[in-house]
Amino acid sequence: MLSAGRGDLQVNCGICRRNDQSSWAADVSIGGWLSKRSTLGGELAAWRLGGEEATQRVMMLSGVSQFYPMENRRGFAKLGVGMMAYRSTDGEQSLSARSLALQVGLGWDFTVAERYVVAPQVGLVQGFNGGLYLDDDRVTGASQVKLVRFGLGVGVGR
Amino acid sequence: MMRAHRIIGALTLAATIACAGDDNGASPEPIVATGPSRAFSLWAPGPNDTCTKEQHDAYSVVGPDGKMYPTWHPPLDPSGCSFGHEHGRDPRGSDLYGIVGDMPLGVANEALETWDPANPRREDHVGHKIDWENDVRMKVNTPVAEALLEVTCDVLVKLHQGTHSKDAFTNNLHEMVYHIRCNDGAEAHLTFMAAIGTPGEFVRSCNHEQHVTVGVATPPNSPNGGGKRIVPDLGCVQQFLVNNDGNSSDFGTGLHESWQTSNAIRTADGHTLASFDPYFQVNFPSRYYDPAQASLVGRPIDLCFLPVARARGGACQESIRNGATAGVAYDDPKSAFNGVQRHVDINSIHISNRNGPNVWYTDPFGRNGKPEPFPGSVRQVLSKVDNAGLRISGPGIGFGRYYGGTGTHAPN
Repeated sequence: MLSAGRGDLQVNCGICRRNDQSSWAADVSIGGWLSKRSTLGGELAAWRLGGEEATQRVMMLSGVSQFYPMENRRGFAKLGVGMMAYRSTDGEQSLSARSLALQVGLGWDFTVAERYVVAPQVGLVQGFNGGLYLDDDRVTGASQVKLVRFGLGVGVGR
Repeated sequence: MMRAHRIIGALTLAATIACAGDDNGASPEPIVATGPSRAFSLWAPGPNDTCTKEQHDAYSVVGPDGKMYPTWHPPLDPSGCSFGHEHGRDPRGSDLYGIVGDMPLGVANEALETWDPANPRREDHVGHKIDWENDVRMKVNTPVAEALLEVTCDVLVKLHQGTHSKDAFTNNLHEMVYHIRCNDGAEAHLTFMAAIGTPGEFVRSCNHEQHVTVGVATPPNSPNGGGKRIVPDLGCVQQFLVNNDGNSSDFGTGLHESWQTSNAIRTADGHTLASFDPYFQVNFPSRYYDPAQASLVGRPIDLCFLPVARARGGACQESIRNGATAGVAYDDPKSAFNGVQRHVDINSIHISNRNGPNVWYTDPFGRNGKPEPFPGSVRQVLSKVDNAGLRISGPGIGFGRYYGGTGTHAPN
């Protein structure tokens, strides 16, 4: 499945400013059906925000699973676990963090052709790490990277 | 859990600051009072002061070496009498007061008496000036981090900055106490003799490139320091205060003092544990350098009473009330040239002590730092961090505050 949408990023730490940053997000996932009500696959996701002073990006590689709790409905809940990398750079220096990431989400598959679906979805990714690094120096205590995603996916249905 | 660790770490450092214990404050030793320091009981009331010496000496504290020191007091005693001088902002309002307590004045001077007994540096009482600010928003001078990170610090500083005598014309050694605690973990509690500029000379207030050689410093072996002491001289006050074509004088250029420090606390092997460079500014000092005077000291207030061309406006106006007041002496409480209006530029602070320990003992100049005390050493406390990456710097603090009280006068 290919998805694109918006993502609001928040980096939290003891000395982090409390501000949301919104930009485009996208992900690609591949997998298969484990049973009638669940899938298992892998997902590569990205978020990027350019700016005059720095370009920020988030990359995430996760194992994800979708659960369809209602037999005749196409609503699903999504769970995932993986690694998230945050990086902000101005070309000379970079501020970065590598996090263990957990994600949860909700979506709905709309069948648009015999085997194709369109799936609006919303999700939260929360990354936990030991701190932000300015180049090689750790400059904060433990921090969290939070990414809220709203998107529309297109993929192959069952 | 991490928060709990941080709290425990902060408490440990606080205990380290408060005690004369070892590296991590694990075995605090109670400080036993052993007698007065040389700085204690220096002040005596003059003709314009209404407090007694006993009232003044009641403001005292036992220093880390066990000796009795003077400490901050208000310009007016709660009984209503006046000490005639002030020591700046009441440190009890600082968020750091809870961990540093009352500040002993003259600890580094006292240590120098042991470190180099033949070359003491004794400073007067009134020159000790304190300023502080809580939750100071620092600038992160790393562009990539500036948008994301925000560092705030509590700052409490003290410099002996006498601006009433000839002392600073030659003497570059002045006791500094520097306390800072930031939300990024950087913390320092430092006491030392700051070497400010070159001994024996100062830099002119109206031309920062011109150095004026005056004489031999006290002590004569005073080390060269970074920074400079910018002090007014006769030429500057003539040009910017007196020659004004009937307009208000330019006190800012002609009379302003700026002591621009550049300090480092170093280990015995030369590693810089901390570097910081606050600037201490005084708007209306009660002196300028006048080589024509036997005392080398000219008095700005006298320039307000010159017969034709004279200083006008500002502090003159305030002092002589458009001529309604005649013959104001330099130490008259009516004179606004009393060194009361000051501010401090915090500027940069860099700590490089990731591998610790928290406590270092240095010589009185902040050099030769070792983990163990030695004769003439001064205790310095630093958090185990390296905050070089963010290159933080702070703004000016203390603008617009008036530290004097009724009866405050030069010498102050």
